Amino acid sequence: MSAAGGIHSIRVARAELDGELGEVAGKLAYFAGAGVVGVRRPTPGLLEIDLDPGTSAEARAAIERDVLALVARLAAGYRPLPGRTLFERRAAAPALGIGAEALTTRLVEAGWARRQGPGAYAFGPRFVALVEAIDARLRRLAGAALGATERAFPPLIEADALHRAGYLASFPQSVTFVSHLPARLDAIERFREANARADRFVLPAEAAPEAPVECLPPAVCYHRFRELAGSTLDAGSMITARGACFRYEARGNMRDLGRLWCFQMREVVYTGDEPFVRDAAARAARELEALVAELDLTASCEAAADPFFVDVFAEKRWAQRAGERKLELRLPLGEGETLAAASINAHEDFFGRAFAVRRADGAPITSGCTAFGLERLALAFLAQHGLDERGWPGGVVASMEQRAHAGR
Amino acid sequence: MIEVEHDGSASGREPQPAPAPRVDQVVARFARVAPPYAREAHLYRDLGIESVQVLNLLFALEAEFALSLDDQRFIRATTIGDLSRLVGVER
Repeated sequence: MSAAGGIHSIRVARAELDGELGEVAGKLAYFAGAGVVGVRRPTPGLLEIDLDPGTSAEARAAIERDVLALVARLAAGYRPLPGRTLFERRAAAPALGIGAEALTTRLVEAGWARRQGPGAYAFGPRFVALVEAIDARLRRLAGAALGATERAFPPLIEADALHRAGYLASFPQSVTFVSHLPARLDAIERFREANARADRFVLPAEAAPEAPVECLPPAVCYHRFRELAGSTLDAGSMITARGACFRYEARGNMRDLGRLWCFQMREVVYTGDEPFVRDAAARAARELEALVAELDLTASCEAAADPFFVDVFAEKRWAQRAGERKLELRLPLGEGETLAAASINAHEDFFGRAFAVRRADGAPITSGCTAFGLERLALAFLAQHGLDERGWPGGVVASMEQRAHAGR
Repeated sequence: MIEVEHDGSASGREPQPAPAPRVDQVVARFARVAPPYAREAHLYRDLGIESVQVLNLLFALEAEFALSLDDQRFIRATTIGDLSRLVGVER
């Protein structure tokens, strides 16, 4: 392993950085220091890390040391494990032939989206209409096809619920905490006064926010297990809910609509005994394939693993792949990029044990979920069909028109 | 049973069980149950091995028996007997 590069970049070369390991290392390298503004993988086995020009020599040396250590820790125990492909579908070549960053630029220029902050976008009526048309189809998938009942959850979740779910031990880098000013009148007044005077947001040291006990949810299904905690289920249940989800990805890594800090997720969550959950997952997979055909997308649904944090990456990734606990729907954009836009996840009895949710016979429930990233589905749809609605599949256009009429 | 030790003194030690087979010894590092294990013992249900430990169990078996195991065959092995066959130690 070696590191080199100019003053404002670091190059890390290592054979194992090819493929999946390189992808994960590329994401985690953003967390090596505040000076990291970009990470590229120009060739297999090579990471190029761009630094802010203001990065000091000491900070650069620390980032270099940490990235080398990160790669070594990820590679320790890494064992490739190819997985099966559940289905593949080939439609016409991507209409735009461009990657997420260029497509985002085009959408911003065309008024479909506007960047509000890192990984946060405001959307115009055409993007909203497309997302709602896709979600209307997903609600039919969840409700009419799978039999899920609709639920709604709050946009906050207790940090302790994420702890029970194992999220804090597996994905600490992605957690978004929520806090507020301390319950002290003098501190609140100092904060008010400072912000009334300043021409931009300021946070006086004496008004430092309270230690957080709530988070913004990284997925919808954790709400469901929080809701069921300590209960006994007499029969299998299936629910669907849509919610805003938040996964912090480091500021330098949230450059386009393919990697958002906050995004919309529709999930179908099934809980019960093993046969019920296995059957629900199989039906969800068939419905996912039908959805892909209806949206006329090129897609591949294949075994995958979550981006676990450094020191648990090798074991958890391998266990997830060995147990085939995650199937991911990958949609090509252009420039060789693909986007994971949906997934089918088997939890076995993990959440049943973690949240003490039991079946009538006392055994922990088995669970699973199928999740859809709405903005990612819309982005890949646009990459593959273009921005001109006249070239879109009829069902999507009809749904958009139906919604537009309903809104009048 | 009273044993007479080499120095002639007597001790009340119980007879020691035979050392656990090598597969059991490796599995014991990850299991919640002490060996010896029945051939039919299920690695996850009976011995309480967690899924996140499985990769390290694979590495440990390869190191102990100085061989390279096929991932898919290892994944399909769910009992002590399966593992024993996999590493070529029939029991």
